[in-house]
Amino acid sequence: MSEQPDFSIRIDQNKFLPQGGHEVHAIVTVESAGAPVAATGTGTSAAEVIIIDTSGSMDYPRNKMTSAIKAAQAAVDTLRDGVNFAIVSGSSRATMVYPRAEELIPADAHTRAEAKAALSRLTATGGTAMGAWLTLAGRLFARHPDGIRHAILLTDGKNQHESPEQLDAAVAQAVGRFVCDCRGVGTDWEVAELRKVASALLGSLDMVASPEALEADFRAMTEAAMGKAVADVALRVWTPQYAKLRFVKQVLPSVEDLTGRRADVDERSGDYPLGAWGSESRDYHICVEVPAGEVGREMRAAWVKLMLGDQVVASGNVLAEWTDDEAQSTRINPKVAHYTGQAELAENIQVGLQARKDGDLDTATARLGRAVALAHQSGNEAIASLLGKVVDVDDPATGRVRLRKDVDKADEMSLDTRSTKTVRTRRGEG
Amino acid sequence: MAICPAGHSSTATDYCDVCGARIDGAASAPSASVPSGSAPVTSHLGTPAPGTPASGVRAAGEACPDCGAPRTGRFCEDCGYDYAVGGGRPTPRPPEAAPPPSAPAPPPPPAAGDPDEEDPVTRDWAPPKAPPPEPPATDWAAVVIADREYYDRVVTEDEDFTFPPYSPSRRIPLSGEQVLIGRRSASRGITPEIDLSEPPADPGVSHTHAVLLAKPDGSWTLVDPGSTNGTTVNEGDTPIPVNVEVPLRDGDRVHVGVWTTITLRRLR
Ligand SMILES: [Zn+2]
Ligand SMILES: [Zn+2]
Repeated sequence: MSEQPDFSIRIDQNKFLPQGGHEVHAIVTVESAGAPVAATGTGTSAAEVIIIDTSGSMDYPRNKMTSAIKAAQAAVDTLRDGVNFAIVSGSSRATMVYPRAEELIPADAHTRAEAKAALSRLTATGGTAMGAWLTLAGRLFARHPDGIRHAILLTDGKNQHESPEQLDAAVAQAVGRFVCDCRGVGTDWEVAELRKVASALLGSLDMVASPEALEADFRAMTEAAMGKAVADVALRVWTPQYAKLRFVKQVLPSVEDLTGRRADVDERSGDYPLGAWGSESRDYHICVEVPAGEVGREMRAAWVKLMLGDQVVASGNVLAEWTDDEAQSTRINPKVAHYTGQAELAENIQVGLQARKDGDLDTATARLGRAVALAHQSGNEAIASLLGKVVDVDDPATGRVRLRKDVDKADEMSLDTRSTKTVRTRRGEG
Repeated sequence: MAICPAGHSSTATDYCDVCGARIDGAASAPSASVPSGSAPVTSHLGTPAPGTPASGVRAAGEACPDCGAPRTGRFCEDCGYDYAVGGGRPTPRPPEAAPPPSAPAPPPPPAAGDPDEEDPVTRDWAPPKAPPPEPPATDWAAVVIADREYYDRVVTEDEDFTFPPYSPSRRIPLSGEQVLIGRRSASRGITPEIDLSEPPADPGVSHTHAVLLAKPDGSWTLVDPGSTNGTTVNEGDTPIPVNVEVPLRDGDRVHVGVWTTITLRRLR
């Protein structure tokens, strides 16, 4: 563990509550500094499984398959020596592409070349059963329980050849066994379905509209995985007697509700798994309900600790103090306000797009309009520009918009996929 | 060990282990961070307070966890709840939802995805020219392919059928009352609409192998009138029963012979 990065926790909040107030909000920033393992070439072991959809549709157009192969080859090139890896091909079932045996193999010049050759022979046939792919990946990782365990899953279609229950069961089995970044290529896949997989497996979700862009994306994902220094970090949150932890959400780099992921540690503490960690910073929004206290009283509303196994590597306090000074208690912490807005932004986009699909145009206009206003206020330019492809904006400040009639499916899916991506507070705000 | 204003004994000396109240004499904590390496499970930011049992000057205004009455002292005036020891009568714990299992789950059963297992056959693509999504089910096509996965599943090593190296997929529009799947025979006067004697001729298909029947509602059903090798649907193991109509839906796959998969596609 000598290679482990230096972690720190920072809490942003306004601890002052009015008399009778009992809801405490705080933004927890977890940051790490220190050389990633990739740079030193030592330390934590790593395992990587690349899952490529080889269903029949990957041939339509053909460049999906050829681009996926190139992308996977680029990812293989990015694996550092000694990383245990495998390539899996996914259709109605999962098949080993490389190595042939159901195991991971250490990367070196020879195995990388063999893997790339095996990839070049892949053909597209059959259906889509992602649960089977994840199950095979889980078995491969099972022999490498320590260290970084990362998978990339690429698909172009809906999970047609399994029931939703089968997929859910496979995902549930995979939780905690590996982190999985998911990518959809083309416009025939289901955003909500893939989001469920990525989210449960603590991975990112993105849409790669043009097959040609896959290669750079795969390289970036693999590099990021190679840059992770520790696996299986958890946020431990202690709350006092009679308090209720209302939610724990990741809010940067994307909105992810972790509330349901809690594993109780003892009566008052629970762990929220955060996956692997490299040299990076993530923000979490936590909300605790405490029994209202007397003016002048101060309490610890939550004690937040970053856990690496049994070791506490950083901690921070979320406080509550009751005051009769309204100027103090009505102040909203700018970071809390910002991320509340970002979460609301994501929700409005998802609800708005669904309403649009369902033909409820009034709701769609209202929700997407609200999203435009939130994106504008928070300076989330990426989302604002994606929204501009789905609605015509009359006034970004108030969110007055008109739904566009001629919306490209790819633009709509890309907005849906990226709706949860957040930005930091603007300079000077937080 | 410190005692909090409510009377709990606490290992942490800044805020109570139990109720979170700041312990008398402790300095207000910064929302601080602990550098890596040091691993304080408890913090020592303040000095331990002398053992002040709770008679609640600071804690007044709190509501009784048992009955909700405002707190006036160590004991609740309404129900006798003891704030110091958290009791007096059974104290309800805040309901805790059953947590999802955290740590690595046990290995999954060797189920789906096992390469030794049989090999389902499917084809998941819509025709390159995506049809408009809308209206009723009147126009259908059958997409016929030589299907490697199906072949791998049903053909054993001692059988001498070579999978065709080149086999373009064919797309046959469905029309009329019935569509025959089989092999052409001039002598018997059989000319199936889906003719699997066309190269690459599937050696496992009977002359009259199966029939697709148009239903009044625009859908199609499948009937096997008694083919030699049987007909399976959607990677099934068991052939469909002879002379029984099996309803088909968009995307359903019909497997016949040693490598043929026919996928039904609704065009509009
Ligand atoms: Zn206490
Ligand atoms: Zn009471």
